Amino acid sequence: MAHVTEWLQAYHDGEIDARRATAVEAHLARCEACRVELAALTALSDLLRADSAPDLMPEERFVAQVGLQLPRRHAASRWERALSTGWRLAPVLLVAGWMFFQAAVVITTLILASMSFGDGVLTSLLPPAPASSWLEQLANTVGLAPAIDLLSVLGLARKVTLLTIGVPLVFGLLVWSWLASWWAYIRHQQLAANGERS
Amino acid sequence: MDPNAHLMSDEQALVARAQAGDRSAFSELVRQHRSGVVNVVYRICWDMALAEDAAQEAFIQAWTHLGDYRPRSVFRNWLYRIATNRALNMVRREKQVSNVDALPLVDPVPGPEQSVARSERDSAIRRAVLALPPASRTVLVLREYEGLSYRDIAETLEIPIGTVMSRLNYARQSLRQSLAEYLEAP
Repeated sequence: MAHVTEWLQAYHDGEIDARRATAVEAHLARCEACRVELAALTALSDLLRADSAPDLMPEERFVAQVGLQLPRRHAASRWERALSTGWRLAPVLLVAGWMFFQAAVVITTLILASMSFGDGVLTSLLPPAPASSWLEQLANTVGLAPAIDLLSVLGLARKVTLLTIGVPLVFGLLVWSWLASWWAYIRHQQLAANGERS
Repeated sequence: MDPNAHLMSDEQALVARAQAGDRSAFSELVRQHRSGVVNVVYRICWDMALAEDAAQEAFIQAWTHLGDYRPRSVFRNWLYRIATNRALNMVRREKQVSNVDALPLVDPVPGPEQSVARSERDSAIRRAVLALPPASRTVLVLREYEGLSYRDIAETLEIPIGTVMSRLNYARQSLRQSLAEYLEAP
C-alpha cells in the first residue's frame, strides 16, 4: 500500500484540492502509519500555538509612537508625476521613434529609387547636360570626371553610413541607458525595502 | 462573492489615501496590522522589546516606501515582507535574542508545578524554533502563527511555493525531533 506522506503536510494545512483530499482521507481510513504521521503534525501545531505571545503594548500607544516617528513624506507634484510617467514611457517612445525612423528610411529609399529610375530613363533620351560648376568644367577638361563622381558617391555613402549605423547606435545607447537606470532604481528600492540600508 | 472582498477594498482605499500622504489613513492601517506584524517579528526573534521596536521600524519603512506598493499584491503580504526582513536583520545584529529564559511569560496557570512545567515547555519551544535556520523559521512562523496560505507565504518571501513546502517540512521535522519529549507527553 503506497503511503500519502508527501501529501500529509499539505492536507494538514488545508492546501490540497478536494479530489486529492478525498483520496488522502480514504487512505487514512485504512493506514495506521499515515494516521500517526498526521497526528504528529497536528500535535506539533497545537504545541507551537500553545505558547502565546506576551502582552503587546497598548494599541493607541503603539500607533502614536509610530505616528510620531513617521518622517514627512514629500507628496509628488503634478510636474513630478508627469516626469515620472514620461520616464516610465521612455522605452515605448524610443521604440516608437525607432519604428518611425525605419519607416521614413524605407519610404525615402523607395521614393529616391523610383525617382532615379525615372531620371535614368529620361536622361538617356536627352543630350548630356553641360557642366554646371567651374570644377566640373575643369575636371572634364583634364579628364578627371570619374574622380569627381567617385567623391560624390563617397559623400553619399558617408551619409548612408551615418543613417544606417549612427542612428541605431544612438537609439541603442538610449535604450541601454534607460535599462541601466531602471535596474539601478529597482535595486535601490529592493535594498531599501529589505532594510539593508538601515 | 468573496466575503473578504469588501474588507480588501476598504483596505485598498486606506492604502491609496496613505499613499497620497494621509497620515490618519496610515495610522488606521497600523492599527489593523499591528498585532500581526508584532507577532511575526516576535516569533522570529522571541524578544518582545526588540519585536515592538522592529515592528515600529517596519511600519515607518512601509510609510517611507508606500509609493512602491502596487495593489496587485496583498498589502499584508507586502507589510510582512518588510517586517520579516527587519526581524531577520535584527536577529543578525542582536546576538542576545536567544536569551529566552529571561522572557516574560503570560497567561499564568493556577498551580506552581504546572507553572514551572509550562515555563520549561515554552522555553524549550523557543529554543527549538530559534535553533532553526532563519529561512525555515520565517516560513514556519508565517504558517503556524499567522496562518498564511502557501501562496501568501510565497508572495511575502518572494520564493516559489515548492520552496515554501520544503522549508516548512524541514522546520517541522526538526521541531518534531527537538520537541519529541513534549509531543509524546499528553
